[in-house]
Amino acid sequence: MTAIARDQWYVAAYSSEIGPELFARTICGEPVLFWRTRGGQVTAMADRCVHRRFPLSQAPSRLVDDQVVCGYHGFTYGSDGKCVAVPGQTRIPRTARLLSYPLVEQDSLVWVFIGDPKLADASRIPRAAYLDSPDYTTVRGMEPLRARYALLVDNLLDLSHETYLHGGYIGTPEVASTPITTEVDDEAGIVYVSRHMDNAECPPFYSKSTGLHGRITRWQDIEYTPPCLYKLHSRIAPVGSVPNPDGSDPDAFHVEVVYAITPETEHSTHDFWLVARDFALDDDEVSAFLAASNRTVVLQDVEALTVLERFIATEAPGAQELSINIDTGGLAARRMLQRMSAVS
Amino acid sequence: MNRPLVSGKRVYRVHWVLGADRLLAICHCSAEREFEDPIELWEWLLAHPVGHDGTPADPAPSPLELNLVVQRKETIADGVVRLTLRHPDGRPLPAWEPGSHVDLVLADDLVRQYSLCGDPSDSSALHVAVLREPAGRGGSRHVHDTLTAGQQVRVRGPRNHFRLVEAKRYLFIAGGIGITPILPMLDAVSASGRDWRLVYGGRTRSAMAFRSELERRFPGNVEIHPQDEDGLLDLPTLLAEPSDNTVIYCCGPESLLAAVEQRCEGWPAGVLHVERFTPKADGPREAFEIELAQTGGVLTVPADRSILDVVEQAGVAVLSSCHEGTCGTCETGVLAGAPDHRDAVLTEEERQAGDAMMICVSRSCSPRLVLDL
Repeated sequence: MTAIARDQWYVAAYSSEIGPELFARTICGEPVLFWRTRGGQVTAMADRCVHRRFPLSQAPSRLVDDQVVCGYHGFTYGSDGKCVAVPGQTRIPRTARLLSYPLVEQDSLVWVFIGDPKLADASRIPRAAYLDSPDYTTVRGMEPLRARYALLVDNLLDLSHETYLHGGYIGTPEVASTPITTEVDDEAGIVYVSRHMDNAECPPFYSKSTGLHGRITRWQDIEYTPPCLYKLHSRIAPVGSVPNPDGSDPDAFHVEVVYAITPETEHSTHDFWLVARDFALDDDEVSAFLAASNRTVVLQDVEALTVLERFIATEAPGAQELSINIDTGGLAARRMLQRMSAVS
Repeated sequence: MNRPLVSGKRVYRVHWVLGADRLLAICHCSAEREFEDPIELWEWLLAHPVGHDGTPADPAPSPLELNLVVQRKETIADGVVRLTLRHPDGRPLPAWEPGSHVDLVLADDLVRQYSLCGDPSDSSALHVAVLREPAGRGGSRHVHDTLTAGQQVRVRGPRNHFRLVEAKRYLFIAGGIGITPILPMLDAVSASGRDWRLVYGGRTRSAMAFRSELERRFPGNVEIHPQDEDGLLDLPTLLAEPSDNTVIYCCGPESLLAAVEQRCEGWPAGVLHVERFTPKADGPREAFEIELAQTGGVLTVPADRSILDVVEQAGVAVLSSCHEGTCGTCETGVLAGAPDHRDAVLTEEERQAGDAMMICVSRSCSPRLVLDL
């Protein structure tokens, strides 16, 4: 049985990826075709002609006046997925239509709903308004990951691995040796993992971007809304600094690290990553540095998880996998995902 | 200890101070407990309210979906296996009444209904008995050949479309594996001291599930009629005299159900209760007429054939492909009459519009359909 939760919203792309050309991506095992119409709306429909199943994203299929013409026999579909022309006859079969997916574009992300469209409630999509705010500057990327998405969830919910896998970038000894509070909000469907280091070494990722050196206050507050959106609220400040009672926090640097964890298939994942900051907004050097550093970190994870996937894919069932205290958040996330994929 | 991050009504909180090696779990009900193992911790925390504040275990939940484990799979008659299903954590299973069935989700597109044939008062396990049907559509084959003890299987239900009603006297008629929903009914009616009789037919003695158990437990009430010894059940004698005080419960193959229904036509309404094993989506199949508007002529579609079959045989060319209602190729206009849509491609609105149908699988709710053929 599938481990992918259906009847859920997933990030399919960045808004900037989809223009007035055909764009295809497989989401949760379903090939989806996108384009941006002349009216500016993004469409999402099955990337497969109902006739002889040719992928509509595949040349010589093409987009003509907001209609996609199948490159095999010329079946033509409108932006609502309805067939408007079939070759050699005037009657258009009623069921000649492409499954179209509920779609929401917000916070610079394109979300699609995988599952029963009747259950698509756009208000359930978690928000990350800073990704599209003039008060922040965001760098982003997407790495294909040849591993099941649950491995990336495990990875991101336990940041103690930063000390080992990402030493020299974002890891310092304190990350793996600081108290953690894990919270699960069952009603909202969110896992929080909080680690506040009040006197920590400043890793290069933050010293080069903020200009702070030596010892710092470093807070990591993870907010994961299964299955797809992972947000790490990172607060970097001089030692002793705390936010004001009114919530303002002028001495601190805020970095919002976001991952959208979207299954491509049962054994591969789209690893979308974004880093938004509220300082040095126009400093291209800081942007380039954060983009390059985060990508390096993501690629370190991708390399490790690819090896892990290959390894566990061939492992006999029932092999030991031990969990310890640092896995408290990851185990909570797994439970939520299991529950989601059990009911879908 | 860190400040709480959120303040919802259902927030579980876990504090871990490094070096202490202990996790402190705090439930939203304010129950607290320390753990050394995070897996045990979540089992306790998420089991709320079980074990929090001494609350007893949750009563069995209402109809829903559960992942159960096949604890046992045993052959109980020729071609019949019985599955014993339990909750992986040993939790109590939903309550059910005699006549109930569950859906077994054997694969994403393989969902089958099986009657519960165990003891309704035992909340620790569910039992179903499955006959291998070589000509079936794969459900029984999957249970027999693929499913093994230890595997998980998704179970929906239980639901009951075959409820046991109050009556003075009961006549149960079972054919083959149709004994399964009737079995729990027998315990219920004997416990209440009612007058009852079971007439149970099957191909051969050794193919009749639960036969010896029935003979042993209810020697005076049960008649066993293997077909190779006694021939078909003697329905004309059995159902000769209508009776106001007797209700009839019948389950078995379509031929038995149809024969019993026919015999009971003169009986008072509401006396006969039948359970069909055909999949719900398929529904009952009855004969009806079709009128071909373009070609002219009226044809009869018998219960065991499709419209597509009948029109093709009459020489009317219709394009078709999947023959299972999934491709949309055989779409045909409906000019009059009410189609009984059984395809998987039309939307609800299109079904209600009723002006087109997939004639490979869909049938008719009205005695006649006028088709644009």
